[in-house]
Amino acid sequence: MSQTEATPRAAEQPVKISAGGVKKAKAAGTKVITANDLFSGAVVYWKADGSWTEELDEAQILEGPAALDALQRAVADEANAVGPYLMDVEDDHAPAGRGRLRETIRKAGPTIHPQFGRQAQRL
Amino acid sequence: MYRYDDIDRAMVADRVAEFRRQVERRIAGDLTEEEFKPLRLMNGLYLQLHAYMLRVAVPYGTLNPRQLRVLATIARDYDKGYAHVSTRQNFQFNWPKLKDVPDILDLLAEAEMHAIQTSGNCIRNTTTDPFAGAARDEVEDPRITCEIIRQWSTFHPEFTFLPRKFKIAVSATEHDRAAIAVHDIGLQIVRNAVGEPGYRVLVGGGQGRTPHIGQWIREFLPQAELLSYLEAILRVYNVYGRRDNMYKARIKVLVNEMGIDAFRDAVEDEFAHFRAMGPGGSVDLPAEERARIAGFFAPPAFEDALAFSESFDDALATDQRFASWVRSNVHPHKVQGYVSATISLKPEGAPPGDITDTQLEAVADIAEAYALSDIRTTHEQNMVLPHVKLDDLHAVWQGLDEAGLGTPNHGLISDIIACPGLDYCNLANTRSIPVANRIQERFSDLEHQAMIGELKIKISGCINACGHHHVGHIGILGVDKKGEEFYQLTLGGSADENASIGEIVGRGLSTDEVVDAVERVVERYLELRSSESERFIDTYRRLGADPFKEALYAEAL
Ligand code: SF4
Repeated sequence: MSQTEATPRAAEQPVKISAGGVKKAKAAGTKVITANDLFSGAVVYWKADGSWTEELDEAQILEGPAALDALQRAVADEANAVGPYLMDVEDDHAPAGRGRLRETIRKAGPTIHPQFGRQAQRL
Repeated sequence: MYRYDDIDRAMVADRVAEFRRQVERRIAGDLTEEEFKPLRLMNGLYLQLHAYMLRVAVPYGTLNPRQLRVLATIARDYDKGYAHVSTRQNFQFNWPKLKDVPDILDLLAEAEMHAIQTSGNCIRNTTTDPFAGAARDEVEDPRITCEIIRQWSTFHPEFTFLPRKFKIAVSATEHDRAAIAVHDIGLQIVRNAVGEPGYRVLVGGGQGRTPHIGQWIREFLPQAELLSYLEAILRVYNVYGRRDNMYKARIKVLVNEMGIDAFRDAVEDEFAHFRAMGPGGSVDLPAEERARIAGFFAPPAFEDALAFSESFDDALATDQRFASWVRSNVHPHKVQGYVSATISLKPEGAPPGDITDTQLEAVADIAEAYALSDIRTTHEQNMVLPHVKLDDLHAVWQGLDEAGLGTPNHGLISDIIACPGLDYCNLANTRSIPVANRIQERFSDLEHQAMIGELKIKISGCINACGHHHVGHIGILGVDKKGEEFYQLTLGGSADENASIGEIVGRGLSTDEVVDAVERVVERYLELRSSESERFIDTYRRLGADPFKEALYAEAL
């Protein structure tokens, strides 16, 4: 069964944010779609052109039904990403809401091993 | 240690080949993630916050130098230069890439290791005393029992899809270093009135969101009847355990809902059925097979050594740091002239349980040169060299110290168990490791730590309790309050033969408050203890929680 068939009226469904202790949230506010890369496990974000990036700043910011539509496409992209979900962001891409700390750590890498996280690659 | 035979080797090789094909099919798009996920989990491969995590089984925490070198190679070539010792005595790698995992599993297989049954609702790695085979008062080497359980439980078709995961621990001494009371099944190896070895059996212990201390279900189980009795317990659990609610699916919930007497009756019924089948019909091991397995754990070639070592005494007198290490990290041995040494993986400021590739190789070299090539991991996230000659102890310490592994803090306040928490774990509420590091920093003075004495702090980043906070003398549980990290303290927990679940004291503390709060509890203990030899847990048991609660919240109000 395809993802589209599974949620025929997705825009009217509550979007499930499946991890991070936040069980369910309405698609209110600005969102970014995030997942893990199938091959490396790295944190990735959905771009406007339907590809994925490791840079949160490059992610497409989405709202409302557009977010849900994009999430369906992201979920269908099984060849590249695992477990896409919507995360809350501010207008400037900064992680927001209840998952703020979790998403900040996902973005930057473990806080106790700065030398091993993604931030290390930017130094 | 146990060595693979041709059947073991073929079984593991087949499994790696099978998983290699499964990974290829996932990458080619022939398997969906929904189909692939249970397959990767059966091979120990999780997906965490930033990357995949591979959990490698270390049966009952026993390793040889060759295996350590393979783990070092994996850390260096496929990960970020380090590995991590878990609270099930296993190793974890935090950064493997999916396509590399079959190659990693091949490397492991060459060194007689694998990642099978390190995840999923099956019987997990059986854990034991890290001093097994060396402890003075042990009835017999508990690893013989662990290996029998390993062989019985690996790929056991009836127990591959239990209601939940299942953990067994074995101890062979009065003083329990294997935390058997907080396991689904705890086995204590004992002798009966006529001196025959057998088991006292505990059932229904566990941590997580509903912690329970295990209850005695059998005071004496003859050695030869072990597997049929375990099989009877597992069968009763498999039939009656809840599958409708994962939070109620552990055996501890079943035992408590049925009551221990009704549960025991059900097990004894099932057990009688096995016994009625008689030899050959039961699942028990024939005596010759038990003897064959026991042969793998025959004592190594200990030398005739003197109880007194001049070189050791000289070093003790002249090397102050060595003397501190001996005081905290060295344990008596059953053979004269030998000791066991704990390698602390808790240096100040590092994630508890982490060890780098070069450190793994250093331990392998030291074990080969001085420690009869025997190495252990501990459920407290340290390592142990179980057999070191007193004459060689100073050289061992110098080698460890040079590798950054000489921290003299075993059992002290900075020897903290901490789960990966929100730095890695997908289920976490809060971080654990930074709290551990800040406590270590606060109690940085090793002399002060030694003066405080034995004090076990254990930290979990969520209610799943992987950091064993329920049984910490001081336990710290991370809770999420509206997206902020808060920490709940528990006091008076213990995982030894006097096991107890810690009592929750007061409200959650903010990140800023939690280290000060721990310090106030410790200061109050120092004021209250009756003598320097009264440990924190003894003072707590003598006086109860009230004086500590007072100290905790006095200034925080
Ligand atoms: S206790 Fe919670 S946060 Fe810690 S490792 Fe277990 S599941 Fe993750």
